Amino acid sequence: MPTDNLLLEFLTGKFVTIVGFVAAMLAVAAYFKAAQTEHEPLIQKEWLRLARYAFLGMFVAIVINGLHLLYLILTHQFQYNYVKSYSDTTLNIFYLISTFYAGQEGSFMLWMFYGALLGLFVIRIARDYEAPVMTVLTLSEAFLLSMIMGIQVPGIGVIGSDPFALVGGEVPKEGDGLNALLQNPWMVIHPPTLFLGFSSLIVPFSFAIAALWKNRYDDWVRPALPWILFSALTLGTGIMMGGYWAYKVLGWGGYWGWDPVENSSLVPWLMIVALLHTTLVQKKNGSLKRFNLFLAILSYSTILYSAFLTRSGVLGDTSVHSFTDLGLYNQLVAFCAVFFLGGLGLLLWRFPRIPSAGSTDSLYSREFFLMSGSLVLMLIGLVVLAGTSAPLIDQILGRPISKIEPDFYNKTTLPLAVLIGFLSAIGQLIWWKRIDRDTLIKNLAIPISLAMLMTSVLVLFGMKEIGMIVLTLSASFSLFANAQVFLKIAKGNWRFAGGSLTHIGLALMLLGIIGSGKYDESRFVELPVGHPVQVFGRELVYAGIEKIDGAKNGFKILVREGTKEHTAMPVMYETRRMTVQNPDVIHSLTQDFYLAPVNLLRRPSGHRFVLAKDEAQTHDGYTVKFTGFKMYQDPSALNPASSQPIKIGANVEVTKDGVTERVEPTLTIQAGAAPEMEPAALQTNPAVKVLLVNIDANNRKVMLELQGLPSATMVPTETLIVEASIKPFINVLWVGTYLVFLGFCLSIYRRWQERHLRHTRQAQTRPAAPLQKTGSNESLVAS
Amino acid sequence: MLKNPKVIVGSGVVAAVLLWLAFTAQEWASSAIGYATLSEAAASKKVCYVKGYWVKEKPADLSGSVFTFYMRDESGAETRVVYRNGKPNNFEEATSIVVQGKYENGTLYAKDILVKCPSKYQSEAADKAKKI
Repeated sequence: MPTDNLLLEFLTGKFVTIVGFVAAMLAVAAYFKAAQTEHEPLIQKEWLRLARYAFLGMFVAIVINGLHLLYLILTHQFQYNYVKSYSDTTLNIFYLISTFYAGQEGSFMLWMFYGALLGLFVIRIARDYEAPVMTVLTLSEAFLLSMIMGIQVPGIGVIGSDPFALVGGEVPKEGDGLNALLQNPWMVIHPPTLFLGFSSLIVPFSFAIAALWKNRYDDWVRPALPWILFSALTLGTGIMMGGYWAYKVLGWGGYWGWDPVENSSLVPWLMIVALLHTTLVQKKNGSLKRFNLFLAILSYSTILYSAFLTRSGVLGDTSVHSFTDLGLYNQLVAFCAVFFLGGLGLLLWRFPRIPSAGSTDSLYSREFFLMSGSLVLMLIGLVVLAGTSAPLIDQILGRPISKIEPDFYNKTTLPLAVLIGFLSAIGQLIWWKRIDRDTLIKNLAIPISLAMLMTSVLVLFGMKEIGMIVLTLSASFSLFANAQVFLKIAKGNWRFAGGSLTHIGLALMLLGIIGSGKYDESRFVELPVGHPVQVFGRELVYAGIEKIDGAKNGFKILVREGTKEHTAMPVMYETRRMTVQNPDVIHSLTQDFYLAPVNLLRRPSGHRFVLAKDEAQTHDGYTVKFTGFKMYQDPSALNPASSQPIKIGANVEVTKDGVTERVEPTLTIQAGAAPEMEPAALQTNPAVKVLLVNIDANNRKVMLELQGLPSATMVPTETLIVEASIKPFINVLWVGTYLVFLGFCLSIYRRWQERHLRHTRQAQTRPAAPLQKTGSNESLVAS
Repeated sequence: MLKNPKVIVGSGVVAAVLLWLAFTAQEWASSAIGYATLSEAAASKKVCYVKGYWVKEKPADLSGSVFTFYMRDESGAETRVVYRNGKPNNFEEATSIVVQGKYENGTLYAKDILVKCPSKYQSEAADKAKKI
């Protein structure tokens, strides 16, 4: 073993963490001094030099730690608890790498690595903002480092949980392995993207604190804007990847479940997107300074609060998720408190000094709509935050603990989503300049008519709920309005089209969510092996198990739809930790057909007959004849879409030794539930039962089963239960996510260029103080 | 004063927000599902979460599509549980279960059964994966 050497182990593990922590604290102190000595350039220069070296030292420590942990994972050093808990020798290289962030400690390390890396960029480009911004950023790094220190402090207790802790006792031969659900290509890239988003939020936050600290309320938004866009892009992409992974891999049929973990990354994203909109207002006319500072503080605070909710074990009792408490509760509370209360306190203290620009904008200004949009986004964020915190609120108030159902979020955010649609439509139509009411109405004419047309068509096709109709109207209005703006701008300068492209994507996402979330249909279907079953206009035949990768059970299902035939292969397998159920999806342009395995029933069974009307078959001396159906409801009144159970009986004649007996087994079918069979026993021999297993309505055949025959071969028959669902227009949602992504990239590109443009222009027109300042900073970077 | 469109729009917005807040509060009350013991669940007549354990000694139908078994809640009371979507995976291995359902006439009709397994999941992604 390479790490048998205790000294080496000490030098590369916990010790490096502590060195990194000390370096971070040193950098915080030095940056603080540098920020406070701006009026004495020579002294500031010295402090800055020290601070940068200290920060670099911290960065190196974090990188060494990261490479060390990665090395331990790749070389399967199971004497380390972290390696043992999350990996084993069977994993391929990609999944071994994702083991790195499978646990809390590793994900903290990823978070701090990104923070430090972004810090290096900030040092290079923040110029005169460097000292105050880096003070705050490095303080956050110090907190993160403390989470993985794992040292005993007298009077306080253990600080942090050390990822390099040893197992103790005998070295295990094999690790526990990586959670099977994480063994998916999406999971290799989803957490790193999400964590990049998490950590990047520190930069806008730090700029806001720097603005408050230095009383520079106007110009902080300019350098912060590319960072805000970057956070919105990475966090948003991470969230969308998570949704796609949930849909394709988890098999619970959806991409979004309002789960605490999902919510806690959504809320900061909403805050940063709200901030994005109002910084544009501030750049334009100098208003909303306080609101922007507040939003920047809120966005990083909500990330920290999310980390607290999901990592402290506080949701442990109310969530299915067994969040493990690593004893970081107090540390996480302190982290949240320092950044949220510190930031808020600073804002309140400076509040009277922040100049408020009396906004003279009319209601028809773009700024008014940007601001309203931000407010609505913030409201959505706050209501989701409140719902997610419900168990914590109950705990604090000493009430019995309760949990908020997903429907709460659907209902309360619906009116706000409608508003988002309308605001994003009108806000984009009022392009840049103030326009009067008449021009606005002229611009509105085409998109609003198209939106009404589209909504009417959907209503004709059966859309009934008023909420959905209004949301469709608003989303399609936004779609057409933004498309109109996009075409106009893209003709001129495509670089400016990022905003409208993002909004087109957003509108498509809303429409896709309506289609796939509200108008999806789902049914539990029992598939006896080899027997065709009709569901949603398709014929499914379960053809048996095929082994995938050696040990996994793939259920081969033939799906026939009209003349088209597909093979679906949902997968289910046991791991040491859980049963994994991977769905399979048959994509088509307008809808997805989604098959999630639920359960495989193997039961000893009797003989099965598939009979047409008046057809008879003999098995083992029993002749079984199907003479017709008995309907328990009026067939003409039956609505297949209703949730009313449908009970059907089969009239069956069983003849044995010349004695004929009539029995009537029944089958009850209900949407959303597995069918219920009621067997009928023979009077002459009650041990023998007849079951109505299935009905093939197209060919007017039934499947009957004769159970309890003395000579019955006890070969178990397999019945696969799947949840089949139809997801209409889910592709619209995915296309929307791609456009949102592209739009953000385009906007970043433009703002990044603008940052340079603005800088050169400033240098040309105002060669006085700012240039000297930045100039001196540049020389510092060079030195 | 009233001619100022800002004032009109502003008060409209405030009214709308207040209305929405009232709606939210009402939705909150109706969608908060509390954790309860069986006796509390019986008294509340609402859907509750009941945390407890599978009573393995009592009769259970584990193979059918209608899954029935007996559970004991944390106060020691026992009840029959009926769940229409078949036995959840990992049920036998569960250290404890949480049944979301309505307690009526001595039977707990489950809408959902959450299975808590002995393994520990730490990362968010893994936690998310546990969604049933």
